[in-house]
Amino acid sequence: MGARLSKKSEISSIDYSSPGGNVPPPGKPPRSWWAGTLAGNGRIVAVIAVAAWLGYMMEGPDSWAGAQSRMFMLMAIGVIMAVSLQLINGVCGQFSLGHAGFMAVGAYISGYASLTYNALDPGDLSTRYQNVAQVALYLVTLALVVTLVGAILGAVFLAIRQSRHLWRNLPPILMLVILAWFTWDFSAAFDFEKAPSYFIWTNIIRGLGTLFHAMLDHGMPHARAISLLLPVVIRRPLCFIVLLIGGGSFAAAAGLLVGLPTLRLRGDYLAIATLGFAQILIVIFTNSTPLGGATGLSVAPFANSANPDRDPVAHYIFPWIMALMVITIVAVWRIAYSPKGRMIRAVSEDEVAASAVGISTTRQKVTAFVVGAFFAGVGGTLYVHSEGYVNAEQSFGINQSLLYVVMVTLGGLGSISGAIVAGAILTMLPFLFRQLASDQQIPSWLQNVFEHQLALFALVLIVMMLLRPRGLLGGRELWWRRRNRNLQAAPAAGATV
Amino acid sequence: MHLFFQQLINGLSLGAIYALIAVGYTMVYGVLRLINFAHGDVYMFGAMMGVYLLAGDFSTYGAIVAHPLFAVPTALLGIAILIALSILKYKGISSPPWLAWIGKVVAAVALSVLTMEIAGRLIHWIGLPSWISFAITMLAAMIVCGALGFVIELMAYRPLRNRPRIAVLITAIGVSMFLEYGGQAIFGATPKTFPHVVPIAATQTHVAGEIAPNFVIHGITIGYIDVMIIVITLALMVVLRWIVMGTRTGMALRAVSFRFDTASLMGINIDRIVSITFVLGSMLAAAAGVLIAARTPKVDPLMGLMPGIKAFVAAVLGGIGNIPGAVAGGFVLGLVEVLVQAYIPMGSQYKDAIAFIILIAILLVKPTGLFGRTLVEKV
Repeated sequence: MGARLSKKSEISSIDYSSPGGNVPPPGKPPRSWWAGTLAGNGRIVAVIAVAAWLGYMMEGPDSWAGAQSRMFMLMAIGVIMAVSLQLINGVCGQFSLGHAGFMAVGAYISGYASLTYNALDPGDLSTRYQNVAQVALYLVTLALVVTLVGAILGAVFLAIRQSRHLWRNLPPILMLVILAWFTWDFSAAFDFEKAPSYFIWTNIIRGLGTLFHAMLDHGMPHARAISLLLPVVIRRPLCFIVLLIGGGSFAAAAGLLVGLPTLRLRGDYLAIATLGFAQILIVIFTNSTPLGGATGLSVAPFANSANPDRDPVAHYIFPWIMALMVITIVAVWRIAYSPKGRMIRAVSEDEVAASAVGISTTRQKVTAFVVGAFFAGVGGTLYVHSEGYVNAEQSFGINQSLLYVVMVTLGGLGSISGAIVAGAILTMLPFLFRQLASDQQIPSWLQNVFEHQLALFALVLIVMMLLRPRGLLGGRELWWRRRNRNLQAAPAAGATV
Repeated sequence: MHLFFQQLINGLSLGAIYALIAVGYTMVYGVLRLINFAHGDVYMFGAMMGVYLLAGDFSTYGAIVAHPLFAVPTALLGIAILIALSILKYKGISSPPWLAWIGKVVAAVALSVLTMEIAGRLIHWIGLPSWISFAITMLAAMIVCGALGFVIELMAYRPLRNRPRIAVLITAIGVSMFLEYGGQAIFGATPKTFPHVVPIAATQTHVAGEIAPNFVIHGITIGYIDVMIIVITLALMVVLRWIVMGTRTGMALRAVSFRFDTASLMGINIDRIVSITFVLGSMLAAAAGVLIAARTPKVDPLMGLMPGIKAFVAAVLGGIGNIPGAVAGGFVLGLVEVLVQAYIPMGSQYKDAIAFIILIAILLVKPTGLFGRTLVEKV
C-alpha cells in the first residue's frame, strides 16, 4: 500500500468514493450536521432503502423454502461479520481471532433483553416486540451498572499502576495480591447466606446486583406506560432499533475492554490473546443460568416470513438484515477510505513509522477494534433474532471465530469487497453441499461425498489458499484495475502474522 | 493436604499431556513461526489409531485400508519408490520434483499402512502380554502420526513457505478442520471407548466390577496410568533432548530456529529439517493421544480442539520457541487447572477459562513467556 500511496498521480486516479461521498464544494456556508449528512449521503440512504425493499420483496409467498431464506439471511450476517472483521484484521492489520466472542456479547445481551422485556403483556403474543421503553430501560440500567463496575476496577488498576513510582516491581505484586484477595473473598463468602462486611468484593458485587434490580423494579411500570404512549406502528421497528444499538454498544464496550490491554501485543500474541478473551466470554455465557446456560438461549424470533398466513404476530426480519448489511459495508468503507482510515492503514503498514509521523497508534487500533466489535454485536443481534436460538459453544465457538478470519483472509486482507464476496461464498458453501447431498440428479457416491460438507469445505479452503495465497482479491477492491502486479503484491506482505 | 497431594498427581499427569503437545507447537513455531492449528488434531488422530489398533474393529473405510489386498501392494509400491528415489540420489541423478513429491507422499502412506498392519497382526494374532501390546500400540500410533505430520507439511505448508505467514495460518486452520470433519466422516462422530484389553489402561474408578490397579500411599491413590504418563513423558523428553542437543540433526534444527535464512546459507537442508520438526512434534502428540485415551477412555474426532489450544497456551506460557519452556508451561497449566477445579467453587465449570486467564495474565505481564528471550525490534 505504501508503494501505491507514494505516487500522487495514482491517488487521484483511484476512485475511492464508491457509494455517495459528496463533499460540499468550498465556498458555500457549512450546513448543519444532519442536513449535510442527509444531503451528502442521499445515495447511501437510497441504497439502504433499496436493500431493505429488496429484502422485503425476496419473500415469495410459497416459492421459497425456509432453508433458502435462512441461507440468504446467514449470508448477509456472514457479510456483516466479515466486513467488520476486515476493518480490524485487514485495514488496521491487528490480527483478531475472537470476533465471534463480540458477536456472542451482542447476541446474548440483546437476546436476553428481548426475551424478558419485549412483550407489553407477557400472556399476549400479539404484543411481542412492542415494549420499547422496557427494553431500553433494561439496556441502559445494565450499561450503568457495567460502567460502575468498570469505574471501580479501572480506579483500582490505575492506583496499582501509579504505585510503580514507589517501586518498580510493586504493580505486579499488588496485582497478585489483589487477585488472591478476590479469589479468597469469593470462595470464602460462598459459604455465607449474607456475607460479613469484611468480604468487601463480594459485598460490592451483591450491592451492585441489588442496585440493578431496584432500578429495574422501580422503572419498569413507568417504562411500560411510556411504551403504551407510542403509536403502534413505530413500536416494533423502534424496539428492534433499540435492541440493535444495545447489542452493538455492549459488544463495542467488550471490544474496548479487550482492546485496551491487548493491543500493545503484536502478531501471534495478539491473535492468541483475542482468542483467549473470546473463549473466556464463551465459558461465562455457557455457565450463566439466566442466559440459558449450556442449553442456550431461546428467543421468540422475528419471523423469517412476511407472509401473514405463516406468522401473524412477529415482524419480518429480512429487510432489517439486508439494510444493516449495507449500513455496515458503507460505514466500514467510509472509515477505511477516509483520512482516519489512512491513519489506520498506516498503523497496519508500519507501526513504528506511523508513530514517528505523529499518529497515535493505540488510538487507531482501539478505534478499529471498537467499531469492528460494534458491528459484530449488531450481527449477533440479527443472528439471535433470526435464528431464535443461540448456543454459546456452537454458535460462537472457536471454529466460528476462525471461520470469520478465514473469510477475511480468503477475500484478501484490506479488501472490503473481497470480504463481502468471501463472506457470502463461505456461508453459502455448506448449504450448497447439503443441497447437493440430497439432490436426486447426481449419483449416489457423489451424494455420499457431499454428506460431509464441513470436511469438503475445509478441503476447498486449503485448495483456495494454495492457489491464491494472498486471498481472492489480494488487497484490491473488486473493481480496481490490476495496474502493476509488483506494486499490488506489496500490501498483503505487510500484514502481521 | 490429603486432597492437595491427590490433585497434585492428577495435575502432573494432565500437565504431562499438555507438555507433550506443547513441545510440538513450540518446535514448529520456533522453526517456521507458524501456529500449527492442526497439531491438536494430530493428537486426536493418535488416540484414534490407538483405539483402532487395540479394539481391532475397523469401520467401512478403515476396513479398506486395513485389508491386506490394499495394504500389501501400497506398502510394496511405497518401498519400491523409496528404493528407487534413494538409488537415483546415490547415482547423483536429480529426479523431477513432482516425482519426488508423489514418492514421498506414497511412501508415507505406505509406511503408516504397513505399521498398522504389522502392529495389528502382532497384537491380535500372537496374544502378547498386555503391556507389550500397549507399547506396540503407542509406537505404531507415533509412527502413523509422524507420517501424517510429514504429509501435512509436505502438502499444505511447504508450497506456501515463502508466502505471507497469514496464508499458512489459514491453511493450518483448513487442515485442522479437514482432520476434524474428515475424521467425523471416517471414524464417525460418536465417541469411541478405548478398550480395557490393557489392565493398565484402567482409571482410578472401578471398571467392570474389578478394582483398577493403583498404588495407595498414605491414603493417596496413584493410578498406574498416571505414573505411566509421567514416566513416559519424561522418557520422551530425555530422548527429545538427546535428539535436539546431542545429534547433528538437532544442531541443524537449532540453527534453523535461530536464523532461518542464515542456516540455509550454512548448507543446512531446510526442507529436511522442517519435515523432521513436524515428524518429531507429531510423534509426541500421538504419544499424548494414546496416553490420554488410556486415562479417560473417550475418543472422538473433535477431542483435539481444546487440548490443542490449551497446549498452545502452555507453549506461550513457557516462551514460544523454547522447548524446556513448553514442558514447564504444560506442567504449570495442568497443575493450575486441576488445583483450580479442586479448590475454587464452581471451578470445574470455569476450567476451560483458566488456561486463557493465565494466558492473558502472562501476556500482559511478561509477553515473552516465562523463559522467552526479549526481542528488540530494530527499525
